[in-house]
Order: sequence, then structure tokens, then C-alpha cells
Amino acid sequence: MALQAIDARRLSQMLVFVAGEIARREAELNALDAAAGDGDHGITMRIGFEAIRERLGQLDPATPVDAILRESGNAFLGGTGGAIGVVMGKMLMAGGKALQGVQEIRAPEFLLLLNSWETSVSATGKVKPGDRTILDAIHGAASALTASDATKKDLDVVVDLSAAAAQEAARSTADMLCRVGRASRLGTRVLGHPDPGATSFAIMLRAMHDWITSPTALDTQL
Amino acid sequence: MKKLINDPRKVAAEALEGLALAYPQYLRLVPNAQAVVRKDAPVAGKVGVLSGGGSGHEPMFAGFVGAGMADGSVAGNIFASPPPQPIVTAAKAIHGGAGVLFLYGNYSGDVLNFDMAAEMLEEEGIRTSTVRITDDVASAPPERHEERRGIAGDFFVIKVAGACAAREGSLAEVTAAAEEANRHTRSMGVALSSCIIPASGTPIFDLAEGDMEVGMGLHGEPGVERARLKSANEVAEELVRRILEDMPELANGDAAILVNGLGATPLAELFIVFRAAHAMLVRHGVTIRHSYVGNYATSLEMAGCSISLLRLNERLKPWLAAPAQTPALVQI
Repeated sequence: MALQAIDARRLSQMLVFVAGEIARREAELNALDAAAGDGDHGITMRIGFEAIRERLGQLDPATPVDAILRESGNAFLGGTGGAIGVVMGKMLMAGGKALQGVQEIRAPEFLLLLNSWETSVSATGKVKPGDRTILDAIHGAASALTASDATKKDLDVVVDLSAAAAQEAARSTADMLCRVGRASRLGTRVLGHPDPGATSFAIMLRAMHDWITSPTALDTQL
Repeated sequence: MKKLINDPRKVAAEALEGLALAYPQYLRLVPNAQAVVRKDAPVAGKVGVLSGGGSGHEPMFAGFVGAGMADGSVAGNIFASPPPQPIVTAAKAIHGGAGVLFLYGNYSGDVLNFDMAAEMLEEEGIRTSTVRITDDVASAPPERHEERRGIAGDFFVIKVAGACAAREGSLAEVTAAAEEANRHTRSMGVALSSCIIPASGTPIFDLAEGDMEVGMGLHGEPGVERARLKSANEVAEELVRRILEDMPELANGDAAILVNGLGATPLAELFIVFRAAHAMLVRHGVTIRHSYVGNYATSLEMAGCSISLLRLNERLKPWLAAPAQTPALVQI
């Protein structure tokens, strides 16, 4: 039986599990980035999530859901640098704001979270869907849930749906040209390779789903 | 990968620590931030000039901290902008009450992090202004010059802003001086081989033996043309030609020139390039007032060079000629 509500303690565990998955995929993300950048996206993501893991370990066990998200964003932002540091940091912090006072994340709150992330990333990076960025994966995930009346579904079902949509959206960035960032000077050289940021986001959602539905993953230690 | 390092994750931090230990007469480390400031910072009443960006370009940016140039510099990890908090910490360490000017190359990561730091400083009542350096001719056409990235021309802009600040310019005046230097600076580079980022351990691009890429960026961003490697004379002339096409008003005027090595190119080769560039500039009636040759803005162990030209006018001349005491530039 998959978990149907993520409380504060579970949220910390889940983020630590996601951090592990990102670290496991580091080389793959570096290789994707090498096709369009300097090949360090996996390193940056791993460092950012390590900073989250470290911060979570220092938090009072009674820290609520919204504060965990804010602290995670703050840790990522301070831990990495680069454009992705600000984009991911502000995104996670915006999630904290959107879930203010929330005790547990269920399907409706998960949709709120995704929508807040999309708004935040779009504003921070001044990007829109189709620009070949992490936003494409977030937008794909959020749109899939909105279209499927997700708030009435179980949490594991909506996370699965969003992860599949994010992965599909990330894959489709391989056909997109880049408009922003360092890779925007690459022209058609980026074609054929999915955007590393969008791929990272798809990995994050898939890891969340794996964690929710796996009894051993639920035991992730802080 | 063959590198003299201890831990790939600590390259930026340990390099900065070494720089500060080697040059205590010019600068010191800032506690709790990957940053250095001039040893007597903050200088009361003076505008603070803060540079910064990803590491891997040594001596840029930290090597140009000291009297007459930048008051401080924040170092990100290799090829990654520093986060906002160390920028804020360094800005406070150099704030002498007259505001702080941010000077950095125009890359989206730096823009996001420095802008966020500026917001945080504003909330604390510290005034900042920003000049993004856009000297790389290869990175965008003239009509989109504000999108261009910053490369070795950072050196001229920091030199001019630092001199203006040292002569007690206000924040508005130092900002205007930096903007003017940026408007008058153009650079063009050529890469002969890739560099290796320590944490990934692999070259960031492939460049076949015998090939060069004209206009390649400091992080391996593709340039304008990939071709067979030519002679130093031909390469130097092509770089200068592209700069002259972009800034025709350079001809028959005064200029400063920087022939910059990217990390793995011997000084002898840089002088051969300088020799050819000098001859071509003389042919175009350019009077070279200041020459700089060496590794100023590198890309780890990339081979290749860039040429930067600053078109001098009567305002810029005294600022460029002014003294500076920094690890990477001592000018009397």
C-alpha cells in the first residue's frame, strides 16, 4: 500500500531519498550537460542536494512541511551557485510559501506544489515552456495533473502521472533550440540531446514516486 | 586527467586560500565566504568595486584585487557563479559607505546570483549598481551586443572602474566609467584544445589534433568558426580583423591591448601573437598606449589565446594609466 499523505517527517525522508537518486545519476547528467554545456550539471545537482540533506539533518524534528521546503531551498541556493542554484533554490522556497500551514501533502497539495514551482521557475529564469529548460519538465508535470482532475486521485497515482509527464517533456526538449543561458549560443548543436535541467526534474519526480511506493525506500534514514 | 589537486571539490577554495597566503600585502580572505578583499578593506568613503564569477579563470577575478583595481572578489566553484550569500558578505566587507559596484561577465548564472545579492543588500540599506561585461565579439552580433558574454576584457573594465573609484568617484561616476570601458572594449579568442573540469575529469569539448576554434568561449561555448590551425601571424590577424570590423572607430586612434593566454599556451607563443597583432594595428593607424601579455583570464588548462582591445579616449587614458597593486597586476 503506497503512502497517501506526506507529513513533515516523511517529507524530509523523501528529500533525502531524492538526493540519493540524483547522486546516483550524476555521471549521466554530466554527460547530457557535456553535449550542450561544460558537463557539470550532475555535479551541481548533487552538491545542491547534499546541502539539502545536511540542512535537514540539523533541523528540529518538529519543523513543519512549509519550513522544510523553505530551508531546503535556502540550502540548495547557498550550496551550489550557478543559475541552477537560484532557480532550484527559489523554486523550493516558493513551494514552502504555497504550502504554508499544511500538515500533510496529499494529491491537492502536490498539485499546489507543482504549480508554485512552475510559477517560480518561469519568473526567476524569465523562461516559458519551449525554451528548453527545466521549466519544460515542470510545466509538463503540472499540466498533466491539471488536465486529469488529479485532486480526486490518490497521491501515488498523481505523482506517477506527473513523473511520466515530466519524463516525456524532458525527452521532448531534445528537439528544442535553446533561447536562454550559456547553451543558447549553441544553435542547432544541442539538438538530439535532452536538456539536463529538465531531465533532473524528471528524475526528482520519479524518485519521489519510487519512494512513495517502495516499502524499503520509506525507511530512508536522515 | 592529470592535475595537481587534493580534492576535486575543493579546487576553488584551496586555490583562493593559496592566493591569499601568497599575497598578504594586497589582499585577505573573507571569513565564511569564498571571497577575498583588499587588505585594508573597507576604505572609508570610497566606492567598493566587487568582481566575481566562477573559478577556473585564474588570475581572473581574485588576482585583480588590491589598491587601484577591485576591492573584493567572490569566487564560485569551477565555472559556476557564486551563490548570493558570499556576494553579500564580501560586499559588506568592502562597503566604505559610498555604495558597491558589481562587475562581472555577462552569464545567466552570475546575473541571477548577483541580482539576488543586490536585492538582499538593498534590504540592508547598502546601495549597489551593476555593470555586466560584454566584450566577446564572437558571442552575439553587434545588434545584440548587450547579450554578449564577458571574457578577458573584464581586465580593462575592472582596471578603469578601480582607478575611478580610487580617485573618489561617486557610485554613479564609477558605474559610468565601467560602462564606458565596457562599451570601448572588444575581445576575440581562439581555442586549440579543451580544458578538463576537475570534478568531472573529462574534456568539455572535442577539438581534433590540428584544428582550432575561433571565438570559443571561456567555458567551451562554441565560437564562430572551426578550422585547421594556422600560423600565429594568420591567427592574430584574424582576431584583430574581427575586432576592427566590430569596432571600426578603433582605427587611427589610441588603444590598449591585452594578449591573453587561456592557460596552456606558452608565453613565447603569446609574444609571437602580440608581435603580429601589433604590426596589424600599426597598419591600421592604431597607437598602442598600453600593452599587456600573459595569462589574465584563463580557462583551466585550455590552450589558445584571446586578444582584447580597449579604445582609449581622454577620460579612459588616466584611469588605465593609474597605479595598481594586485597579485596579477602591479602598475606604477
